[in-house]
Amino acid sequence: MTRRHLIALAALALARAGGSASAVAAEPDDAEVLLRLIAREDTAAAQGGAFAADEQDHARALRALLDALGRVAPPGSDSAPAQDAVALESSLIEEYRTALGELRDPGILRTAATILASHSQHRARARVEADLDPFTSD
Amino acid sequence: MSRRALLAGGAIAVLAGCGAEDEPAAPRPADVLLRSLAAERALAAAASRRIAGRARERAQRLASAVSEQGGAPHDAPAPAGGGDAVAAVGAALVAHVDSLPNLAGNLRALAGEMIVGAAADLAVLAGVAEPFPGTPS
Repeated sequence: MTRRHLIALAALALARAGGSASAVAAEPDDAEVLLRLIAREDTAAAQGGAFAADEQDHARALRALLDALGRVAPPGSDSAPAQDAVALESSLIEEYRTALGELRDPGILRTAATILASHSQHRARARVEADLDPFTSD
Repeated sequence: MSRRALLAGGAIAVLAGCGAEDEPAAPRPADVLLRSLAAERALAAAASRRIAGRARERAQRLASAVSEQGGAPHDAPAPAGGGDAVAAVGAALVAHVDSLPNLAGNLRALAGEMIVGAAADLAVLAGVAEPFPGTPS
């Protein structure tokens, strides 16, 4: 390989690095997504509904992932305004659907996906409890 | 930037390129989707009418995506019938969750929809909700 080739490769590598840095800046990183999800789980758990224990487990798992990235989430609030269980779970499902498109780390992505599945189960169960069709909102 | 720095950058780029060749290639999206499709077809064969219909709808969407990605949907076999429906929907959920890191954009969104649908089926079939369904056992 000639010196001229090496210089061309270096310039190309630098241009690519600059381009990817710009793309990254336009999207939230995994830590920012985790912070958003933890805040939603803390609020949901604070309502004390039928699935509060699962939501505490979700927040705990997400905090462990955030900790591994060197970040710490603020403590959750002790209370939150009550929200209909089906509406709450639907909004959490949308939050996690958005997050799946943003997350990059495969392990974090898989964990978020299992929590999305959990909220889908919560919604189905909440709809059954409310004498609604469990599948209408899928 | 000096010529020396550019040369160093070039050397690093070449070395990084050599390292990347040693890593296993990521599976093709069509192959990843085929695993999800096979799991949904197994669920459609094992489940009763309504859940089976929902699984068939998901399978149709996955088959279309496989075709769009250049794959052959017939490579995902459709079982003759029978089997444990709860186990089948659990396996489908695991397949969908596992597919995510190898999918992007609309295909990842499709996998998310598969997860939401299969998880609701599991909640109805098994009568429970869990904190992390879809985690491989």
